[in-house]
Amino acid sequence: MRIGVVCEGPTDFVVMRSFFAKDLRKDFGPIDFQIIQPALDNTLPGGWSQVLYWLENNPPENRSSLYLKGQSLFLRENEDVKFDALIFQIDTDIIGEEGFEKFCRDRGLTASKPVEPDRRADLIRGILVSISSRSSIGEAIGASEVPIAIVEACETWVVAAGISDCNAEAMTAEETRNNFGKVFARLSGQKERKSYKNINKNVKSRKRICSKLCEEATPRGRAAHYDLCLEHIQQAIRGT
Amino acid sequence: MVSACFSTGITAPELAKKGLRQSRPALIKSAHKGMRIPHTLELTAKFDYDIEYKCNLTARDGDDSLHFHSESCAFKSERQFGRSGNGDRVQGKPLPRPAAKNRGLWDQTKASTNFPEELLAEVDEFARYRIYSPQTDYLRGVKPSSAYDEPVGLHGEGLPEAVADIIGQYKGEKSSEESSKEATEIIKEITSLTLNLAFLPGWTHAFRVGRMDPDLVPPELNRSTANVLYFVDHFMHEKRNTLSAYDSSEGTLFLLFMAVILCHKDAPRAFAVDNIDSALNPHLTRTLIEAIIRVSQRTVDPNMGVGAKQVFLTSHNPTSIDAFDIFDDDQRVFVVHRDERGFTKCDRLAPAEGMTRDDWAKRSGGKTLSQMWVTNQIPYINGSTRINPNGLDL
Repeated sequence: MRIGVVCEGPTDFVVMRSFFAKDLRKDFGPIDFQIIQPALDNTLPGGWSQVLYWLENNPPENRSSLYLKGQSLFLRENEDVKFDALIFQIDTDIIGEEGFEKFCRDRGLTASKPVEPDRRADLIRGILVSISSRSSIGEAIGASEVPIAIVEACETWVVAAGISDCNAEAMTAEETRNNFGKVFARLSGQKERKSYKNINKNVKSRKRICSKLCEEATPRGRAAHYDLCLEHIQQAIRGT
Repeated sequence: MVSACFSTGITAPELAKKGLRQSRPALIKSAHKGMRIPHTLELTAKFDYDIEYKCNLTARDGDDSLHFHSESCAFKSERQFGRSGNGDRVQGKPLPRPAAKNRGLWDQTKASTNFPEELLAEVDEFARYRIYSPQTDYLRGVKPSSAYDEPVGLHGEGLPEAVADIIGQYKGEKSSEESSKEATEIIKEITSLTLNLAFLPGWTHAFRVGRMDPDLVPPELNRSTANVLYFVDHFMHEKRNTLSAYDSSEGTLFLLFMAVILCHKDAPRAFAVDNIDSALNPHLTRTLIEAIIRVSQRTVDPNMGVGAKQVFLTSHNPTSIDAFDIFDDDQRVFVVHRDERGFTKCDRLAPAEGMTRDDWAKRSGGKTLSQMWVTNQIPYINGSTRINPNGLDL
């Protein structure tokens, strides 16, 4: 089983791969997650814009032919490298960013600024559905594609997995940063601090932390939108 | 290798003349983990006019040369010649004495046998097949030329003389009296098309072949070369605008070399060029291959006496495949890779069964083949079966 990932950056990929692989393993066995985007070169920036540009530049028929199993462009295909499902990820913390709002306006999409986590996730998911040329989330899932909105950033899922009695998706950016720092410190054998200025974005560290967290818990049952993403991936794989 | 079997032999020097790398014979055979190393190397080939050829070559550890173990050739299902443990036979008759083991039966018997004309023409033409791999030092005339088969050596030896020939060919100097006016015109057109390749890099608009000029040719140039290629650089002052091959661009020399092997009357009609993209930028690589395709589409006509009919190319440059129309059965792209067992596979790159050009446009998302190559969307083209396209250690 292979899942292709179009995401904002390497740390998002590492977090999704670690937790999804653990939570999907029981039903589907080991899953090989492969990053498709960011990919092109060392000049392009990462982030939400490249996810949306990638979707615009790879229309549905192209995505299904080149990336999904059972679809063919060439006479002889290598099914081993094709995917059972694709996931497209963007964090909700981009809502309100000027560049994002302009991107949406230029394409006739609403760029409102909801506050509630549910509405923020709905907004990002809706934009992913629209830019990926699908009419609904159901149609996307039926085509083995899963739009994923992480509330607010992938560190939210690390916090949810690392601290059992918290509502990670309702935290402010500062609360997420501090709690992420604490989880990171605990799993790294460091002394916890009251507050943290930055989030450690090192990919190797993120791999190590997520790997240790998976031995304890995942965000499953602790972050509503993580559970929803998981459910959508299961549906996409099963074709329901 | 099959061409060598039809030609003057399969010893190391003979194979080298074909452009084949001279590995130790025993190393040519497959030797994969968990599998028995075969006793022989089997080759089979099919040609036009219902010609089939098969041979088994032996190569034991320590052998300095390959040897024929068995060989057979049929024309329209009738066996023409063959050898095995039961002896050597040509058109059903045993040979008066055993054939040499390191030379094919074709080359040893064709002079004394009445083979059908179509078989003679087809096999003799293929016997001239060779693999060119042009090298800058030879193209510039820096390295001394050893003996080579006309019109030009495998690495570019004798390029000035060969270019002089095709300039003459373009001017009609060597057309035979029997050639029709139409045939002469076509030859002129093809020669012009190929000679114009040298102008593609854009810095020169004229070239000629002349005697060595010590004012223009540095002492490093091989003094044994009688003739030298000269180019006019149209960006330079008119008193200083002539450059010898030594000072000119590598790409221009490579393109002239290609012009020679594509249209020279003595060039083999079927040949290979290793690394067609060497010395050329991605755009020129594509343009050159498009020119090769255009020439071979014209010269495949059996009435055409000159020009490449079938060209095999290797390339590692993505834009090379943009030159091909993979819907056209006469233009074929093969992806060479090794499978999970280490076996070398040669898969044809073609559209899925039943696909129309409109389907292709939609499903490819308007991407060119080169774009699909660099984003790893062409099966097996980047070798490994499981590639992380961005190379990140994730």
